[in-house]
Amino acid sequence: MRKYISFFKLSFNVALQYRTSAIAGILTQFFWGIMQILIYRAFYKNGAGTGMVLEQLVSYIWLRQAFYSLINHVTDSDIKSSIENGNVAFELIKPINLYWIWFSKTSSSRMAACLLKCIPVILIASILPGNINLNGPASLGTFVLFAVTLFLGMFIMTSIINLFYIGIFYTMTSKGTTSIFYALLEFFGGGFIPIALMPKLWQTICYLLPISLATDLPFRIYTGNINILEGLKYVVVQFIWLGILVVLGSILLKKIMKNVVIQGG
Amino acid sequence: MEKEIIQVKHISKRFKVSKREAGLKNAIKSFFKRNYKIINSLDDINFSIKEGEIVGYIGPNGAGKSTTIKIMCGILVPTAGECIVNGFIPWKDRKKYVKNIGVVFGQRSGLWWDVPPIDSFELLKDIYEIPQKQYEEKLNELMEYLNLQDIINIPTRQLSLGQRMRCELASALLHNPKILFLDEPTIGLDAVSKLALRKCIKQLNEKTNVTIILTTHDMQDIEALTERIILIGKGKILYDGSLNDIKNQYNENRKINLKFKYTDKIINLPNANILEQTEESASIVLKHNDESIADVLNELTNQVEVVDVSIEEMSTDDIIAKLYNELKI
Amino acid sequence: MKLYFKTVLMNIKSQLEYKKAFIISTFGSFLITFLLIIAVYFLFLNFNQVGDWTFYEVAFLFGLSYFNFSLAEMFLRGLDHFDETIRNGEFDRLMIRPQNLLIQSICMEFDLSKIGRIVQTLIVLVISISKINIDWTKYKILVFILMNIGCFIIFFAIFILKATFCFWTINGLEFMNILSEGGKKVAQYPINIYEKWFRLFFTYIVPFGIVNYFPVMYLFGKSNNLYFGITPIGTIVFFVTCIFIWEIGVKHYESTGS
Repeated sequence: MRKYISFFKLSFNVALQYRTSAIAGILTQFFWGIMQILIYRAFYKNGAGTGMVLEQLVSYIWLRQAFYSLINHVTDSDIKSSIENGNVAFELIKPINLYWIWFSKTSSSRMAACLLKCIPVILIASILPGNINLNGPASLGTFVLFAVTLFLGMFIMTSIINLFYIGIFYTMTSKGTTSIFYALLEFFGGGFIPIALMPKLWQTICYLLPISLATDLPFRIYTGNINILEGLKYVVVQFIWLGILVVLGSILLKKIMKNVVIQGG
Repeated sequence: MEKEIIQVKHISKRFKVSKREAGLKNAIKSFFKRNYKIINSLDDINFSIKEGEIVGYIGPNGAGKSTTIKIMCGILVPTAGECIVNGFIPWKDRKKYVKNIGVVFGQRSGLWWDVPPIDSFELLKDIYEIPQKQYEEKLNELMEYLNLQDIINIPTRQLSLGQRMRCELASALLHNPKILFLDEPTIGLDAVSKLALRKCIKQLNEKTNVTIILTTHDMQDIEALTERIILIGKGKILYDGSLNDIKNQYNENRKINLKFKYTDKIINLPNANILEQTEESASIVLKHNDESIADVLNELTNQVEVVDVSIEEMSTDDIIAKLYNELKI
Repeated sequence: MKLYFKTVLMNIKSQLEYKKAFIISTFGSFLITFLLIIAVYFLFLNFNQVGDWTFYEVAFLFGLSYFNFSLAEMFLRGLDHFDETIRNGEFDRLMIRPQNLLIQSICMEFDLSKIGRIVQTLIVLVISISKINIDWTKYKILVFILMNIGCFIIFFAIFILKATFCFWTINGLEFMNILSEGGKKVAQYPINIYEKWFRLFFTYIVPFGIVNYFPVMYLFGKSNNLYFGITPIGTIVFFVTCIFIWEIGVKHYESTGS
């Protein structure tokens, strides 16, 4: 835990140094939110589609923008290049498990970035005029459940990203695989269009995959698209998936690192 | 007869940098409010260089070496002052001016990484608009001086650093520049490659009369290549003159260590001081630097039966370190 | 110009040295746009139309915007990755060469792997044209070509702007993606579906409207006003402005060198 906190402190410190990045990030998130909302508003003018009412969708989009740093597809270029050039072998010298180093690094830098960005985006989005604003949560219960699922969702995303790093050991190149990973994650996570607006069959596929538990579930809970009781069931599902992904990742990584050692790096 | 090809007059350069202190608290503070301070990277720099000269431009890290080089290359505009290189003001009329200079950065490659050097040369021919005939002549000449025949067709990334640096030199000289800037050319090279590269540089200067400005931290480069050094520290020129002068000035008097057959005589020399003497050994320091060692040794052999002699001299590195120390830079 | 093709050739040679990475990248760039158009298709399954625009009409604009963006990405990669050129000091090297700095910066890189996206967006464009009833005349062919050129010019200018930004800071580049990535996405719908203030910004400041909404009105026969068709010419103003800003950026770099 101590190690984890110092990781977090370091990431936060690094994030603070790049003030321009932070401001640029906030503006970007904000612009993307507005743009998407304007597009969907145009679609909803012809009558509501199935899946979500416009009001819910607007809040859904703002929340996704505000917490995007927690649940996005961004991967760490240091980790990627350390695998590609073999320097990862040196990590074995350190007295911590490599899987948890990655896990801490990824999740702590996500939280640091989010901490900087989410508050301004939420504040501005809440006071926007003209029905494009973020609404408050339905109840305290919804909000608590939202926070819990968001947090678990971030860990699920982190463990998925760890699996991606492990995949680089096999492809030995991250240039193209990163964009494939991005495309799949965004599409099946509802990044290109919200899952609720997809055709039924595709919705089912998306909900069966663990990605949506990070990128979709928390925001649907907040907007009331999923009620509390059902939401609680999903928390259990999140725990199960998190367990599966972490165990799978740890085992695979252990196996690979053994080979790395045998080959001498 | 020799014209001054580079003239630098009263050049100054100031930068604004943001200050940051360590710690999370300060990081948060500086997130909202940045403190800036002005630093004088260069402060009234003056020198001139004659055509065909090799000049070593030395100084510790952050002294302003690369800022000066950047200004002379036309990359940076100084805050104040004048600089004329081969009749041009470097930062004005950049495109015309840069045809007069060649630059080698030791730390960065100017060659395309994945293709053989010859492909890079062909491209540079077009970039510098070199006529075909002139290009071929120059290339042949450089291949000979720099010994490139065997390496020119191998992809750059597979070349050793020494081989690559020779190709870098060639690439900087293809357009027949009057002035060559070498920024730490021997950095990272092994001893053999260093010697070879120095020989190449020396030869190029002698045969083509190209003016060379060399920055380096390796004093052996300076010793092997230049007569004249310009020493810069904290943005000011501290010394401009011959390397030998500074060596003589700062060199401690030479020390002679002696071993001889057992004796209880006390050595007595007119031109030297005895630092210490035992029954079988002694160390002696000459009183003046221009004293002939041979004379002293002659005198010594008259007094004792010498078995072994060694002469200690300060290395250039030591001298420069002492100099930096003394000038507090 | 000759110089540009030479460096392009050099770049292609380099990229073919790494075959596996190249194939995967090409597939990756194909996949993203493929899934994006699928997402648009899903939206139309759900809502039938947006304003009075049908799926294929929007697909046409999607194709136009993404096709030209991908071309820009492939040919102007050097500008897209200009932050790296600044960060590793390569720009200093460009400054000691006797050629135009903007052209040299463009020549820094050429990304062949975008070919996957180019082919795919071209297919989207062709399919959507075949599904829309367009009365092809001489003028309409001309307008179609103008639209493509204009669209490319806007992305070209935005890439220049994005690169120029790096002269001041290389940390806030994400912000410039609003113009490049955002512009690409904005231009995939006819801009009359947006709110007024948004529409005005993307007509008069970053002029996507004049390569998209106005000419397409003429092309699809929704208006007979030929002036609508030739509006893409106006992109030149935007382009020249961006070049001007680039020159200011170079001046700034010369005085700070950072």
